[in-house]
Amino acid sequence: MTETLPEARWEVLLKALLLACGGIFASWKLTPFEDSVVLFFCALFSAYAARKAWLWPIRFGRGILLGVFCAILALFLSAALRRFALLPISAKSTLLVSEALSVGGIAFGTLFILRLCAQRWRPCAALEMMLVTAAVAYFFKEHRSLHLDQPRAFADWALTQGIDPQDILRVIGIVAAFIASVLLIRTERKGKLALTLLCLLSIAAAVYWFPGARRLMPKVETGLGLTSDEQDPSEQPQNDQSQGGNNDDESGKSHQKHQNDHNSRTPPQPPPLPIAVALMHDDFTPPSGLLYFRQQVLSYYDGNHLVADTSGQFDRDVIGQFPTDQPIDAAPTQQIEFFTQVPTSMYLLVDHPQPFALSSSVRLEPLQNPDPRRFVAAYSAVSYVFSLPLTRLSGRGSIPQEWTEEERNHYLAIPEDPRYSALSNEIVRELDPRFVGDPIITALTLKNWLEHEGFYTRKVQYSDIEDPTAAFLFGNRRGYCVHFAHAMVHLLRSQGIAARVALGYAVDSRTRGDGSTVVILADRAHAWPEIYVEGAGWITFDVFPERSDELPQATVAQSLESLLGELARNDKSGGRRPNVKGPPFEMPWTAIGICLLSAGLLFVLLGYGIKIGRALLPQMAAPEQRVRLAYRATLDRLGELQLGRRPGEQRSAHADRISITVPHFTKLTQIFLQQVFGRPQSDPPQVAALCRQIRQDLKARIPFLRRLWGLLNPWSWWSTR
Amino acid sequence: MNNPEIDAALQSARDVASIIQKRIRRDVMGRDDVIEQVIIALLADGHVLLEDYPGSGKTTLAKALGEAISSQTAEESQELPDFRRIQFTPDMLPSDITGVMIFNTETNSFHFRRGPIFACIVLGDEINRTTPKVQAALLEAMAEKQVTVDERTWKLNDLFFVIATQNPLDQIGTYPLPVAQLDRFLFKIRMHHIDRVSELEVLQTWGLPKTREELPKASRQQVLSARQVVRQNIFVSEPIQEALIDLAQALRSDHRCSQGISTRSLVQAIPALQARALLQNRDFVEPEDLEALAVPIFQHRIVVAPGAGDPSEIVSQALVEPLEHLQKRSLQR
Repeated sequence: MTETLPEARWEVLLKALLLACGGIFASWKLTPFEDSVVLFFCALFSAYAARKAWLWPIRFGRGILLGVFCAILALFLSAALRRFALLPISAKSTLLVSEALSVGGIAFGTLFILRLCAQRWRPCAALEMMLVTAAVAYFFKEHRSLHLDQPRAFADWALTQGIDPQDILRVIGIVAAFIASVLLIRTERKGKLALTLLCLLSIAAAVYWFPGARRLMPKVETGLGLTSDEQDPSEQPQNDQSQGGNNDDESGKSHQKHQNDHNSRTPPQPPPLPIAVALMHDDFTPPSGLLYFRQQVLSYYDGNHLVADTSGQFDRDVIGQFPTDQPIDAAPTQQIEFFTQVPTSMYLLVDHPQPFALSSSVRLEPLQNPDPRRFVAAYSAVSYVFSLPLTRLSGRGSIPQEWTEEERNHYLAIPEDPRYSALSNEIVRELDPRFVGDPIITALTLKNWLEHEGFYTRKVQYSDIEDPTAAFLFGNRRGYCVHFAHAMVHLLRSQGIAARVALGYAVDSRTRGDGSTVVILADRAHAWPEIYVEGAGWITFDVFPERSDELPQATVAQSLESLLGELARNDKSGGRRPNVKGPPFEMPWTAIGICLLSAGLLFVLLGYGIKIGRALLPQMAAPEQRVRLAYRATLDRLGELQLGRRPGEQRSAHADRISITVPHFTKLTQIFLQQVFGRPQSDPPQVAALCRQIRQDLKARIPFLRRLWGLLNPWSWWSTR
Repeated sequence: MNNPEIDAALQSARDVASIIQKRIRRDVMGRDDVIEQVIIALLADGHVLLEDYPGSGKTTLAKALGEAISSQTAEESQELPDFRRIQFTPDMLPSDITGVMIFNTETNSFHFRRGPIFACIVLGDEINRTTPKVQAALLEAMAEKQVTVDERTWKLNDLFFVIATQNPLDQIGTYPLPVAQLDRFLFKIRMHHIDRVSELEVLQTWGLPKTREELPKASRQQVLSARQVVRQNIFVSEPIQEALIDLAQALRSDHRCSQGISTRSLVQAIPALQARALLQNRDFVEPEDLEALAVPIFQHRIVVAPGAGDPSEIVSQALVEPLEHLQKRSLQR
């Protein structure tokens, strides 16, 4: 327990300021502005008080008690103020004062104790700095994993300037760490300090330019195996064959996680991360209110599960590859008259194994990536979105005549379990006889039944079960989208309707703003059934369970939406109208240059003015002042020739030193000393001739160039002593 | 330099100083700075404490000074000798210095037998070797120029001048002088070993017959009137006095000094500065005098906090600021 030397005054001031700023950062999101201000001053005052206490000196234990007492007193006063309305002020002001009192008291007490500890034990200084760093980190925590969120003031500014806001964030982080490290340094030797600072600076620079730091992507899990992160390379072959089948298991695992979360009542999950941005080229709102971004489909029944078809014979309307240098077209199955053609641009923030686009995409075209550090892929898509009432398709068959037997079997294969057919037949039995055999009406009946009977919940797990779909459908019918989709597909297929499961993301129009930007969050992952209708093609046929225990999805912050949209569009104006806030800010380098130049010129001119004035003054001054002014003017002249008096040197010693160069100066010095320190004289001596002789001395002994150089220096008189 | 009378007086004072200086220089080699300071102290009516190693010419210096000042008449010389040396020892009593009352059986009365202090120039050798009681006996003599024994006070000569010495190395069995006593000394001069050339000269001239009589002597009256001239005719301007006060305040507020300098020391400093100005052929005191004399005048009057270092360093450091301020003011005023 070694006691440290008291900190220097500047050190204390700096630490106090940093603690106060840390306090503002920490309190900004928690308290009103007034309390932050109170906290700032309390932090400053606590540092001051701690220093006083340390120097006084107060005993350490008593200091700690004092800090605790102050905090408790403030809390007590604050409570009393609220309870008994001690002050004759309005209720609002009372609340404000009481809150400020408690915030200030706690801040003062804590920081006072902390400062005391830091002054007593060096290592406690680290605690302080950790606190400040944590406060800054807390302030910017929404931005972690390279996302931009609130507060956006700096991000907006940076975007308009064409600077990546993340660079600014990184700089903020580095600066915070740098300051924290600097404050931990305490050394008496300036050279060592400079060296340490240099090392820290180079570390900071290395961190800034470190290539790994420039491309960090968050690991995103959707629960449906949609992103690349969720595909474990070691299981890749198996996944390729039975991805769909594994979904249930995977989902089961993730649900287990969810369940655990709910049971243990852990703090709420962090907000879902955005994984892609879609820019709609036209204004389009689907009738269902949902935008389906399809990534892949599961249509092949392998005897156990529905999996993606890998033979390449089926599902050729689904584009499985990213367009790299040329557009990719899908084999068209859709008839344009039933669909709306919606062009969109997709910008993926997270790596995916396959591209996804709105509903049925028929053409993907590569796009220039606006920011390779942020987006992993960019492409434009032309999608066909079914936008008519489903009943308009009634009367049409499901499987067209031209389909081969193989195709027919592929899209109708279901488990051998007889219960599927039995159940579907039972449901369809209730159908109006007029519509019996109509695929659309049959499908809608099944859908209605499942929507009515099913219960949407994520708190179930069907892991370790051979056929989770059967367990769901013939059990209590509690499950989530994957179960509903599979159950629906099996029921439809059992009624002879071609169906498949589509995987991707579904974005509810109600959870997004009105702009053309659609931000797809990770929690929007979804599975839904699709049915084939003769003469129309594959149609999204989602099931909406009537009962659910899920909370509605959070709305995407509009600021985030517009920000990501701007980034995707590579919009330098930051999406603002140019005439509202004027042109983007530009450093007025010319004006600054002119200002600096004129300030410098003024400085030089001022120097020359004073210099000339001092040289001319002896001729104009009153007789009793002349000796002094002449001596001073001579000293000015000697000073600019590097012959001035050195600090601490006596005038006579100075005159002796330069007497070889300027012999007449000794006489002038004597006269000057006589004038200043001697008896007052009635008739002041004449020194003009002496000054002339001194000038002659200088002319004779100092080279011309050196004299000229001395004359050019405007501020040479400043060092005359 | 406007008044011819003053000029003449100053010139005669300068002559006296020069006579004494020449005589001492003949006997003491390589100590011109110390000789100058001793003459300044003589002209400023102050006493000198020399701090030096044994055998470095202190006694020679004091003796030469005593011999440089002659008594005009034989009676005068008999009544009060020019020079006396007192070797201080631990077993001394105050009466060994001041003198003692002796009972005369012939007249059946006490009469006073004067001690060695009754002289013009007194050399007190190894003054810190005696007890404080004896050191205190010197106090009255040095400050008031009088000796009191048994209710009677005897006046000392106006010229009375004490050169005391102490050994800086040998600290065992010594009684360091208290500050109150040190304050009575105008200068504390630290002497250093003389340079090689001077030492060689000492070896070559030692024991040779001296040609003392060729050089003139200064009379006691001349020294006294020179003192008068210095006090009256050398001008001390106000800025110099202010610089002295600035120095005193700087020393008093210096945390390394547990006790600063007294007002008496400032009062005593003025004649010393004047005397130096006289020796430098000036009729006014200038900052250079202050710079030259501040350390010997003040270094023994401050009480240095433990571990704070050399008092002469402290004084010269404290002097920098007032002097620079003085120089700066001289250009602006």
